[in-house]
Amino acid sequence: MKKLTPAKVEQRVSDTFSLPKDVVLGLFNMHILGNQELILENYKGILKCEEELIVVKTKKSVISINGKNLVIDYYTEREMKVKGAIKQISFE
Amino acid sequence: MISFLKFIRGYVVLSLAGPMVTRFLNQCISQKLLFWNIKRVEDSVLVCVSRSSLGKIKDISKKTSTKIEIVKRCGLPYLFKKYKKRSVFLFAFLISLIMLYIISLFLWDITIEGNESYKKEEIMKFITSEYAHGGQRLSTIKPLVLEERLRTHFDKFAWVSCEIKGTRLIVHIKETVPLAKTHKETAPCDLIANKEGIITSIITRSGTALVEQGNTVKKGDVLISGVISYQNDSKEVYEEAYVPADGDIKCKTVYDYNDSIPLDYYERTPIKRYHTSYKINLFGSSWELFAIDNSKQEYILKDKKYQFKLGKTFYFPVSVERRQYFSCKITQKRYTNEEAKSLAKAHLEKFCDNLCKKGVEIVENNVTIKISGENLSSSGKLVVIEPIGKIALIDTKKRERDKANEQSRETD
Repeated sequence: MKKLTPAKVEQRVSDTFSLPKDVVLGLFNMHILGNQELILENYKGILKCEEELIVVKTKKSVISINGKNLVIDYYTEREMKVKGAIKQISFE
Repeated sequence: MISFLKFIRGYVVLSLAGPMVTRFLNQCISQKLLFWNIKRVEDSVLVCVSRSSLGKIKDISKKTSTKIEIVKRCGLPYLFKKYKKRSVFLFAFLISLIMLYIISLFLWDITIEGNESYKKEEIMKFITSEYAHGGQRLSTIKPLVLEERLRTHFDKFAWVSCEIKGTRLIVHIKETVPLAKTHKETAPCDLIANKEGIITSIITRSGTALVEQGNTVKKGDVLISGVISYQNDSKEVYEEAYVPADGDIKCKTVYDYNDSIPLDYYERTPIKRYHTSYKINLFGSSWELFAIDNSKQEYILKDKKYQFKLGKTFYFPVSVERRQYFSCKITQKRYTNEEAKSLAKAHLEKFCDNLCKKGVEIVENNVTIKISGENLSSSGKLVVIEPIGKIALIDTKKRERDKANEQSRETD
């Protein structure tokens, strides 16, 4: 019998009971408006804040936002909003 | 809206510098401090933070060895702090606002528009003495009551409308509408002749017409009676009903025209301005500055009034009048015959125009202009067709009583 890790248990519970994954698994939720605005929910912290690169840590991955004139419009414990000319978003 | 609330509560723009700025930011998140507009400028990061969070930041900055510098202080609390020394100015500003509000509660200007037969001064005198004067509370002025009083006092007013705009009372008057048409009575009434003449046309809308086309009427004659008689087959009146008489009656009447213009006249020509004084009107009282005694010489006075106002309707109880005194030369002149005749014609035309405005049609013009001695006199008669008719209320109770008395006498 395969050994169940806590992550796999969470995945199964979420699938079986159709529970929202962002709540159960702690996945991030991202809304993008064109290439000008980005709202990110469920993040852990800011790793880097520069004019052309913003790096944000989430529970399971790291998100890099590349662009020009990037500004964090606001950030709270739950969500943050990034404004500027977004060129690239990558996940690690 | 959010930016307005931020302004009310006050915020500061901080410049963060150090090796662990992001750690500082993350620490702040965990402490539930709200930051906004975070951007990198060269080696530092600019952030906006609310005034209340400023105290909590200092501990975190020490832990993360981040250097904090206040770049700008924005918002109402800082503004108050800045102008604390100028509290007198603020106090005066508040007082002036309160005074402005108090002034706006009173009436400061009365404007009359559209008068023709009556002079503005006459109407103004009636309004100020009978109803509303400068400095009266606006809430005590009821335009409808004033309209009614003006209509009853001035016979020739066909339509009056009063409105209060800002601190002004504007009275709109119309006199051109024929009199009979405007006074719609609901009580039983007769239409009587207000002039002597010959009836040219009569249209009865309600009531019994007592005159016909071609009849000559005198002043006070009943034209349309408000009494309707019901007759039986033997032409005996068995019932009477009272209605408000209404109709259009046109009558041929005669106007006498007399005008006299003296051929010699004096002309005053201004030569030089020798004095200027200023009259200040404040809350109904007036003072003249630099006033001089002018009783010993002939002068021409030119004055111009400057009313203090905000926009078109907010009049203040303050006005300045500039009075310029000019010395003048008086010369005796004489009209030539042509000049005098054209002047007399102009007078006559003006008279006719005024009549036409009232809906009067001029049929015959027998006015002759002639020079008699030192005067040029124009006299004659104008035959016109004009709408006539004046309302006279019927005293129905008295009429019923008279009728009953008559019947009792007949039975005796």
